[in-house]
Amino acid sequence: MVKRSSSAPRPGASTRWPRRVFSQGSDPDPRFSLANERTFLAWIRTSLALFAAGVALEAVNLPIVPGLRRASAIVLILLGVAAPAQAWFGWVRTELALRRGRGLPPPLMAVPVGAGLMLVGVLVLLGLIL
Amino acid sequence: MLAWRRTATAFVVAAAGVGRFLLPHLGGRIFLAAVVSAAAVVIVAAAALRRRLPPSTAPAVLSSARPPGPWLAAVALATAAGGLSVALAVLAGSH
Repeated sequence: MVKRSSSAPRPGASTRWPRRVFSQGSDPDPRFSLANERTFLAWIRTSLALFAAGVALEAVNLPIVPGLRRASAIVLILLGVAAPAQAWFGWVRTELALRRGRGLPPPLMAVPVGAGLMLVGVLVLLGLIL
Repeated sequence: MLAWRRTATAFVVAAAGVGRFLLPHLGGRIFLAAVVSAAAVVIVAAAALRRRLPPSTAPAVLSSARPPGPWLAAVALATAAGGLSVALAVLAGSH
């Protein structure tokens, strides 16, 4: 048996944190909130992978030009720092949109992460060739 | 939730990798970073335990799916702090 929550705002909704999210609109379908939470966790795991790649580039002795290797590692680590920020702010923006019944915001970090990874690929390739 | 379990496992594997491969090479320099990353694992594991799956025989109460805002913020901060501390220790150590 599945019980559904009502769409009306709860009396204690404004006591939940962050208040600027839960003080607005009404509780959405729980499935949407859970999907938003899974997206948050996916960004966290992406961050972990980016950090691991950056650390591995520096820690493991690879036949790559040192300057280019360090530059690639720094780009990966910076992307790894930005990913948790995207996870949190993306979760807040999406939860707000769901509560207000508006269209979902696009992920702000999707393009920078893609461009950064492409840059890292080019740097590593150059480091291997040169 | 399965996604929490998956994330917690990834953190445990990453911290084990730091402890196994980086701690012996970098020694004291990375000790603080290892402590911070271990703390991140503890935070994620605690958050995952709060969101564990109910027994399959229990009725699914969808209204109980309240987003754990403070836990999400703690996990995001712990990820950034743990990753950055290990990365900085490795960058400084390989200089």
